[in-house]
Amino acid sequence: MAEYAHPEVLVTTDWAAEHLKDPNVRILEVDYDPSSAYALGHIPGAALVDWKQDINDTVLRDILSKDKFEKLMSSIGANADTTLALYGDMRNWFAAFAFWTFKIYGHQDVRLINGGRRKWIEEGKPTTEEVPTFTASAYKATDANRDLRSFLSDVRNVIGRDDFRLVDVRSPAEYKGEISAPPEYANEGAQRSGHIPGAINIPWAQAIQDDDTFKSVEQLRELYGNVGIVPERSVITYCRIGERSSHTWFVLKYLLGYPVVTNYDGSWSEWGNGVGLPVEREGATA
Amino acid sequence: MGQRRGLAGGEGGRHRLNQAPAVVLDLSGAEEFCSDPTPLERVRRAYANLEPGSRLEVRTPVAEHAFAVRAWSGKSGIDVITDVKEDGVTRLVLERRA
Repeated sequence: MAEYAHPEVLVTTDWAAEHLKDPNVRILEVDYDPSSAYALGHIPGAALVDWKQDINDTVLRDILSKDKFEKLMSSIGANADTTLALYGDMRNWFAAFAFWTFKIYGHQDVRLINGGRRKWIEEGKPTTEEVPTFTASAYKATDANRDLRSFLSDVRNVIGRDDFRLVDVRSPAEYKGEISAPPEYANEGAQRSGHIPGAINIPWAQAIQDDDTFKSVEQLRELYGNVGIVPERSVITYCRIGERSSHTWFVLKYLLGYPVVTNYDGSWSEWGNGVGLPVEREGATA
Repeated sequence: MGQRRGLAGGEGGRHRLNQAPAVVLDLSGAEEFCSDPTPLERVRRAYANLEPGSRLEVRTPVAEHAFAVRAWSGKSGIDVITDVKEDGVTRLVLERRA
């Protein structure tokens, strides 16, 4: 079996279990809903990263600022050489989003725990409710790396270009325009449903196996390559709020090693609410 | 043969006489959409809607979800009447105290 393009960014649950007390490693649980996950039990020594509070600007719709990232890293006593091993609830989506933001601010050694919280618990590995404490550091981040992120104008500019591919990682029902938001959150949806013209629908979960670990590099190459998502093209991933698409961004950028992959975190919740933006929907195009 | 855990009730999931059937919440296929309520949030909401003395049966094939329901129940003082895994699906029955 061939290796991933960057195997160093993916660690197993066993690796995490062997590094619980490694002073050069910080294990971080990134949760969408900590009260349903971290607060009930987590990997011993893992610190909580609350996706809503810690990874986002809580006023402006944006990812965390450089200053906020530095404060977050300092609070867990990290420095530029610290290994950050991320996992979390909701199938590792938000851990992948955190991975993406940490890369934007230039942290070198970020890793994803393959299979995440779900696999750790499935394997019966130990959990604790104890919250660790760390001696604060004075972390310094780099300026945001714009090459990893796409904004609305970037997406609009590449529609119809053959050297780009847009990957819509939402469910087929969302892609087709049958729904625009989760059934229980109808008021969080978009004014229009459908997808960005030309986008190819490859739901994020097609990249993983039953135990939530990633498929082999051969399977992933086939999955994306068969529909023209190839390294010779630049790729933009999107979903609804940008976290499922960061999971696919991780696959394309680090497991397959595609040179130009960006995550459009504005995603459908921005595009589907934009006045005059082109939309494709089954049986209708505007 | 199913795998049983320690139970608060110990009646193996059978209903007492006059016990209304449990409301069933199947968590299979949860976590499909971003911003979906977490599986445990669905359990919390369903439990909150129970009448005192009635029961909620949670079914899930995912150990992480069962772990969360057990831990939350324990913290919340909720009786787990049944906790059994059969054919890969964990069945937890919670009873709302009268």
